[in-house]
Amino acid sequence: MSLEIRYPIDFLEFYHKAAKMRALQLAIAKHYESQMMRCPVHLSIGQEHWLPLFTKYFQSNDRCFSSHRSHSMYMGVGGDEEKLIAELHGDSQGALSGAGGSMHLKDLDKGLEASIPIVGSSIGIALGSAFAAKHLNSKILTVVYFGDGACEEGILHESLNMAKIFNLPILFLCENNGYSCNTSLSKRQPLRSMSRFCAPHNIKNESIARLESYPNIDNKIKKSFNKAREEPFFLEVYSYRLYEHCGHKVDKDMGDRSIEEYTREFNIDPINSMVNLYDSVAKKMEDSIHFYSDIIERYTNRNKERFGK
Amino acid sequence: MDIRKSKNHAETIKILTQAFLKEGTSNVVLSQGIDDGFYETLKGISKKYPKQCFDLPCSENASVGMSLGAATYGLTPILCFQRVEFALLALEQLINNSSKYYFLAGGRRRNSCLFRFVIGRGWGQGPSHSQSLEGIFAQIPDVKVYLPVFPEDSRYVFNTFSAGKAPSISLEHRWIHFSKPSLISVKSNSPYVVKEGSDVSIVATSYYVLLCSKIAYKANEIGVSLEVINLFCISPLDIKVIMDSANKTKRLICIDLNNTGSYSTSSEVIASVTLAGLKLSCPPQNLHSHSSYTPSSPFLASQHYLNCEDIGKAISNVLDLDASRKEKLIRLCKSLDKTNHSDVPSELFQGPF
Repeated sequence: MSLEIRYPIDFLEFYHKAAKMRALQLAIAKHYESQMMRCPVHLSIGQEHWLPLFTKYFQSNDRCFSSHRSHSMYMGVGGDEEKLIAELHGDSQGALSGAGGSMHLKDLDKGLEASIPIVGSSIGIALGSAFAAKHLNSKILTVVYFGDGACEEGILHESLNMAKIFNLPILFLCENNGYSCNTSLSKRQPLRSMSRFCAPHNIKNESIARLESYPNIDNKIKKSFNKAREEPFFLEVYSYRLYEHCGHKVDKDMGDRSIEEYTREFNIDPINSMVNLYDSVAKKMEDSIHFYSDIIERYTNRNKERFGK
Repeated sequence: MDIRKSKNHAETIKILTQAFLKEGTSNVVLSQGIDDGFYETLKGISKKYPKQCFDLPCSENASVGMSLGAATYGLTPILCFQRVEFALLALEQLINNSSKYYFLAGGRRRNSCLFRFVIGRGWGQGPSHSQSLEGIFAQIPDVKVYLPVFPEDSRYVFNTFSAGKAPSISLEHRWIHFSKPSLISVKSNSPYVVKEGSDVSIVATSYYVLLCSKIAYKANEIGVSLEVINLFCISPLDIKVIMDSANKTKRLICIDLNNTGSYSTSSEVIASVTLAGLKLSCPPQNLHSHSSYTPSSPFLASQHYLNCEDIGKAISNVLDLDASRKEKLIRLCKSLDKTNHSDVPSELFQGPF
């Protein structure tokens, strides 16, 4: 499939949004080394391309629950970027006034109710959110975002079962990036698909391939959101994490994966493709990196003063 | 009020639950086997309020998570587990997502709900159906942990739990379901005096409050005056009543349901009053079960649990009694112990649970 077909110009505004999300994270990665963002940060670099379509179908009353890799959903619900940056710096202006750092991001006004860094933990709370919505007949969708690692936790399987038993309006949104910390999926599970866990619980599912065309991604996310408003639904998104599990480094020579694998994945990275394809996306990326870097530097300089450095 | 005709603790919990469900449709009860009536405490309730009563699969961790989430987003749930040991499978949600949710949301999200976990005893419950484990829950900041004894205690718990910012946990000893009203009005979560006395302060939890009260009334016969305090709420722990009592008697005995004396409810009480500067005339006593785990056999279990004679010996240890009065006290206490390895709370009790 040519890149023009995979990423047609009709979705240009979404590529701009995706590029901004990449830029924010690249800016964080660039400045993380200065040790002034003193909390563990799990970047989603390599996993952003579909997020603007999540934004498209996530309604203002909906509730989202995330894992530790929380920047994705924070950006997905349209969380305030400066408050994210402030939170990473432990600043009282932060999204959680400094209480949670990167791993507990919330934007309660935008619908990101919780990010919980204990793998699978947010699924239980999300189940309760959906249970309440159903009991109160409030037409609110609950989205719970987790990774392939969470599929190794009992609570996912307990919750899939209960979501079906109570027929709850909940979208299980699993991003399969192939790694849990630095352990590849092949070392952890016998099969690659997380959607395979749906059948035992009689839950319908959809999956988005790594190089799915953007119109297809749009259709599948739309379908998933619509279905999940009526009954539990499972959406698996295949992606690839280009950076290390936690931190600012590119994970190509740390021994967790081969350079060949990294290079192959880097070359087909959706955001890189969008940037290569459209000059306006490349410009958006560059401008946004400067824009976010300026904000980060402000907080970083302030922290340097506070730390006496 | 004729105590014999009054409702017992289990019946009172049923009445409280009915009132709770009647209050509004957003109040819900979740329990596996809810139609079975949960030891008479939910008898007939799921028939009367079918839309607010939910049976559950085993899945304890998801059930606790679901209750916490539901409590945040518009419902007021009561979740029941048949034995507290099942809650061990849900410690992840309890510890990670209960009061921490309020903390992380800067106070903008609460999850007040009630968890009713039952502590088993008797009829061969054995080592996995008889632990109390209250200390585990008490380690979670801002979660209220109750060990109710009398119907009035549960009345307080039911009337107040939904106003909290975080969950309340009520650990109901199976045998206190048979208790009758104390006729003491419980107005706060502080420990309170069940029977006044001047010689020894006894701070007890759960079923042992009943045992100690019985001993206290009997001990009056030989001029030994015991003050019995129902600890009731172990977290947050308010020691004022205990301090006042022990400052008066200068002698302190703590009795709990734990199987060891370390990291236990009593060791926490003793540590707290010591830190507050309490001066006693002799070292405090810390009474707990005799072995690490409860054996199933009724003949072995009767050696595991504290009995009235054990408590009588502890009382005589802190009092300066001459040999004959000491012997008399212990004999008196022993007379209160049930004979034939009794492993039921009352003669009416039918096994297995």
